[in-house]
Amino acid sequence: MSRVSFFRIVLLMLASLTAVFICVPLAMLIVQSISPNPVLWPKTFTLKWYRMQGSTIIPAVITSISISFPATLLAVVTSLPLGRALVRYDFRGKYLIRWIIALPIITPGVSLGLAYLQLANTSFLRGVHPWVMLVAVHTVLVFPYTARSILAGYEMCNFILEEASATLGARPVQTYFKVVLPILVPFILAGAVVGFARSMNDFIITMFLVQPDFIPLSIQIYRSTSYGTPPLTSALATILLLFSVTFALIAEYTLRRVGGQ
Amino acid sequence: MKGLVVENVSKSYGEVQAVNNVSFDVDKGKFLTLLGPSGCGKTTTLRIIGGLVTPDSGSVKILEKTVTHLPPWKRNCGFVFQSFALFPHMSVKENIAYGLRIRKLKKNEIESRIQRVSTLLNIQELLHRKPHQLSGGQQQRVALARALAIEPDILLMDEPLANLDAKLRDRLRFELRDLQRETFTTTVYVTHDQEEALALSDRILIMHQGKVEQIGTPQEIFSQPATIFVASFIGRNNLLLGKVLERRNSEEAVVLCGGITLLGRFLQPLSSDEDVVAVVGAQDFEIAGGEQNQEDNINAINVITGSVKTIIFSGTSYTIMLITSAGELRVEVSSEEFEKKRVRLGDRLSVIARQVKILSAGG
Repeated sequence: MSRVSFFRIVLLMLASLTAVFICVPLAMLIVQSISPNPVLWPKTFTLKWYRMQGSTIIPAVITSISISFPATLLAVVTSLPLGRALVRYDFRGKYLIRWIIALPIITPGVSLGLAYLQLANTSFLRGVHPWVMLVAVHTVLVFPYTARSILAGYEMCNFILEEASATLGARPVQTYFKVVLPILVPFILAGAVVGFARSMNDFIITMFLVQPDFIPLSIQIYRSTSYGTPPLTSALATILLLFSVTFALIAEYTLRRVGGQ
Repeated sequence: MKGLVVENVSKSYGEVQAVNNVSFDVDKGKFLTLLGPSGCGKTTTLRIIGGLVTPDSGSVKILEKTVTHLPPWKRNCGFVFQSFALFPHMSVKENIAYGLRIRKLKKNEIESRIQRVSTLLNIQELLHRKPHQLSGGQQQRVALARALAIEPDILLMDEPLANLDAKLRDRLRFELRDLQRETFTTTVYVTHDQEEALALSDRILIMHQGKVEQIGTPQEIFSQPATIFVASFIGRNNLLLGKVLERRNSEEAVVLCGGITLLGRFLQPLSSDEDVVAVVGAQDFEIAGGEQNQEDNINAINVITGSVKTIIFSGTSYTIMLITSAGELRVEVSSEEFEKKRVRLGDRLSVIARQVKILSAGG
C-alpha cells in the first residue's frame, strides 16, 4: 500500500513539474507585458505597453485576420468535396491522398517557406500583392486540419442516412444541405478553429513571404524585439497567446458537443 | 390491381449473381415477405424495388407504373432500414415531417399527418425528443412513422426488427401486422426469421442463392415445401434420403430410408426409381406404445427406433435427439406425452411418424 502511494507521489511531482515547465514561462510573459520595467516580479502594474503598441498591434491583428480568415474559409470549402470523395467513393490513389493531406503538418516550415518564396519570385506570381500569396500559402497550412476533421465527420455520417433521405423524396442536393451538412457542422467548426489558430500563429513560412507594408502579428512580435524593450514584445506575444487559447477552448467545446451526441 | 410487379430482375456484383431472374407480384394492400438466409439476395431485391440499386435487367412496376430506372426520390416508396437511419440532428417530429416538407405540403396538412402517424404508432409523447434519447423500439416506431407519413405507394422494410431484443420483437410483430392491415399499405418485408415471416405475411417468397425457391401463403410454405431447400429452411424438419419401394396410388408411396420404411405423400410427381427425400416435421412424431409391443414395431411402417442422445426442455415441449439407422432425428413431443412415457437419456425409443412428405432428391 505504501509503495503504491510512493509512486503516486513521484507521479504527481513529475506531472506538476511538467505543468510548471509549460505554464511558468507563459505566466512570466504575461507579467512582463503589464510591468512598468523589465524586472522579474514588478511592484506595480501598467497597461502602457499595450497602449504604446496600439498603433502597431491593431494593424498587425487586422493583417493577420485578413490572411487567416479567408485561408480557413478556402480550406473548408476545398475540404468538403475532398472528404466526400475520400469517404464515399473508391478510386486508385485514395490512400495516397489521405496521406498527402497530412503533409503540410510534417513538412519543415523552412522548406515550405523557401519553396513558396522561390515560386513567388520566379513565376508569374512575381508581381502579385503579398496578401494573395499569403492567403494561398495559409490555405495549404490550414487544410490538413479542416480536411482531417471533415473526413471524420463524413465517416460518422452514415450513407444510409442519405439513402433514407432519398427514399423520402429528397434529391441529392436537398439531401446534402438538409442532412449531410448539418451533421458535418461541428466537425467543420472544430477543424476550422484549430486551423485558424495554426494560421494566426505561423511564423516561419509567413516570414519568407511578408513585405514591409504588410506585417501580420506573429512577425510584428519578432520585429519588436529589435526595439530593445522586452515588455513591448511581451504585450504583443500575450495578445497572440490570448487568440490561441480562445480558439483552443472553442475547438474543445465544439468537439465535446460532437462527442455528446 | 397489382401493388407491385417484379419481372425477371437480375443483378450481379462482379462474379456474384446476387439476384437471378426473380419475378413476383404483390396485390395492392397485401403483405409479402422475402425470406431466406443471409446473402440470398433478398435485401438486394428490396433495394431494387426502392430504387437504391439499379437492376442489370428486368423491370419493376409500382401501381402499374414502370419505375425500373427512376431514382428513389421519384418513387414514393416508404423504406424502413434495419439500423433505423433516423436523422440524428432532427427531433422526432422533424424526422417525420422531413418527407412532407420536401413535398412542400401545407403547414396544417403536415401537422395533421404527423398527428395521425404518431397516434397510429403511439409516439405522441416522443415528438420533441432527439433520436439518441430514444430506445431501440421507439426509434423503430419513429422510422416507421416517418416512412408512413409520406403515404407511400408501397412500404419496404429491411429486417426492421432484427436489432431489437426478443420480447420487444414479439410485441412489435403483432403491432406491425395490425398496422399494415389498418393502413392497407402494400408491403414488402425482408427477414431471415421464419417465425416473423409466418406471423406477418399474406404470402411468403423464399429465396436462395439469388433465386426464387417458392412463393405461397405461410400455410402452403409450411405444409407443402416445394424444394429440399425450403423443407430444410422452414419449420424444423428431418430430411431423410432414400428410394421409392412401392407406389400405393397417385399420391402415396412407400420409401426406404436407411433401413426405415416410411409411407408418405409426395408433393411433386416422381419417377419410380428416383432418389427421394422424406420430410418429417419434428412436431409430427408421437412416442410409440408400451414395452411389450416394441419388438413388433421395429419393422412396421412409419415406426422409427433409436437411442436417446439429447433431451432439451423448452417450456411447453421437449426436443429429443434420436440416433437411428437413418441418422440423427429431431423429435418434439409435448411435455405431457414426454412425462407419461418417462423417456430417459440412453433409452431405446420408438416413435411413429404421423405425417411424411416425399420430395424428389433432385429438387
